[in-house]
Amino acid sequence: MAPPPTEPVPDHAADDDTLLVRRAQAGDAEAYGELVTRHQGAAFRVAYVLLGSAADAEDAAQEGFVRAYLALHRFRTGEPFRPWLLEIVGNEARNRRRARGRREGLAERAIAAVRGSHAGPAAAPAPELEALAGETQAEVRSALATLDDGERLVVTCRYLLGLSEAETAAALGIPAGTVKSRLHRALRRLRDRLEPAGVAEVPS
Amino acid sequence: MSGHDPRGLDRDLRSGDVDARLIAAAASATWPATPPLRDAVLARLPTPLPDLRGPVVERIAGSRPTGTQPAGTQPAGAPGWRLARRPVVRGLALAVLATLALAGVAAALGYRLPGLDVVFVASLPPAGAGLDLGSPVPVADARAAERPAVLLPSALRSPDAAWAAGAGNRRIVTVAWRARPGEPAIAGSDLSVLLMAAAGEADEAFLTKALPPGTHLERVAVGTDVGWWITGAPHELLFRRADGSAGELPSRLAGDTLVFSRDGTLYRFESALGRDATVALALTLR
Repeated sequence: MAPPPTEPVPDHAADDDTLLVRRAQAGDAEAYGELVTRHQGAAFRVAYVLLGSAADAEDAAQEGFVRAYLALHRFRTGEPFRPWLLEIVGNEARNRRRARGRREGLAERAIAAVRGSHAGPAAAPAPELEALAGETQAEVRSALATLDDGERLVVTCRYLLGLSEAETAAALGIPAGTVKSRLHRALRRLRDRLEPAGVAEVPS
Repeated sequence: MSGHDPRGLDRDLRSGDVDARLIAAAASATWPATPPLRDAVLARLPTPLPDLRGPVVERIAGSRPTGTQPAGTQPAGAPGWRLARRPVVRGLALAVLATLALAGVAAALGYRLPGLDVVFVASLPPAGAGLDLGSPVPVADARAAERPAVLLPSALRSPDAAWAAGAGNRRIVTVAWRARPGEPAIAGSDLSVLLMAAAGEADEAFLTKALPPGTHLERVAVGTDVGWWITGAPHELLFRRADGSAGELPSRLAGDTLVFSRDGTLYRFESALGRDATVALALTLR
């Protein structure tokens, strides 16, 4: 669909998110497609970290982009687009995780009834720990595994996904202050595990 | 790590090698490949795409004094706004709003105004609006994907609405027929038939586990296929995907339901037509 005649048609590569959002709000499908392409990596990985399944993450990210489009008229022009998008994707992923937990409980009972067994599946490792499967990352992986889920997710978003504090808060559905405090606690714990005793800190 | 830290971390936390090791780990982390989402997302957007700036532009336009609206910014429906600015029409609109507000207060307080009854209607908007069935799509698009392969009952006219949700093997397609005069409607809607399709197989063990108390499951024959007629309370429906995992079809309404699978597609008919008529309808899938 061609953009409306009242607005210029700049090169997509040079467009920033704000301009793309404006064009998408005006019904320009190509502009929204460009936003999807720009942010699908972050959206998919956030959903993957929250859901632990690439197929579920794809569904959630896709649904998040569709819901974001349908809510685009409520987006405040000038605000950064990515935190807003990640909040929608994060909400979608958490809703799906809750539904899946309920469904898997039912499915496990159904499968057990069919097979005459009540053995449940083994718990899968956290997806961010699976992403650090290399030998050289073993120590970091082990250290991250000692954190509680909330702390590990914050570290994952900030370091492994490279999200900003605002993006992390939006994606995880928690206040920015909670991101800060969890990160602070998590890094202290990681330092205890990863830094050899006796290493002096750089004075502040 | 020294120098600028975009994370804004405390200096004592940056000073050790935790920061560096996490950053190194991030650089060598192996994530699943990001699937290309653009085309799938755009295919699910309403077509043609609406100009979402409309409501904002209208609000802005409505707040301007007459004659100050810039050329070329007249929003869709502008004649209605010009009309609304006329004093008589504006007065009438205010009177209606005041009456509605008064009625709302009266209803909330449990009072009735003379000659005015406030009736709360439980029915849903027409043609499936508000049922959260996914994104509205043209019927042709709903049937275009390889999975689920969706057949439609040849005994019925073309569907009045279609939706799609999910992607790939987990895509769920829903089509609906609006109840015409004289046709029974599913309770809580103005739909006569709602048909959902997903890639997978019906399995009685899965079905029975998801049914809440108050539902009744009856095995029926749909031609040479085995089907199940479910009546009673609203229910979720579990089915078996090709990979053995469990899929879920939530109940959006409270109609009686026929479930069966054919050629790798699970079908869920929800209707107010009764068992035999719904089975007969399913036999005409083409």
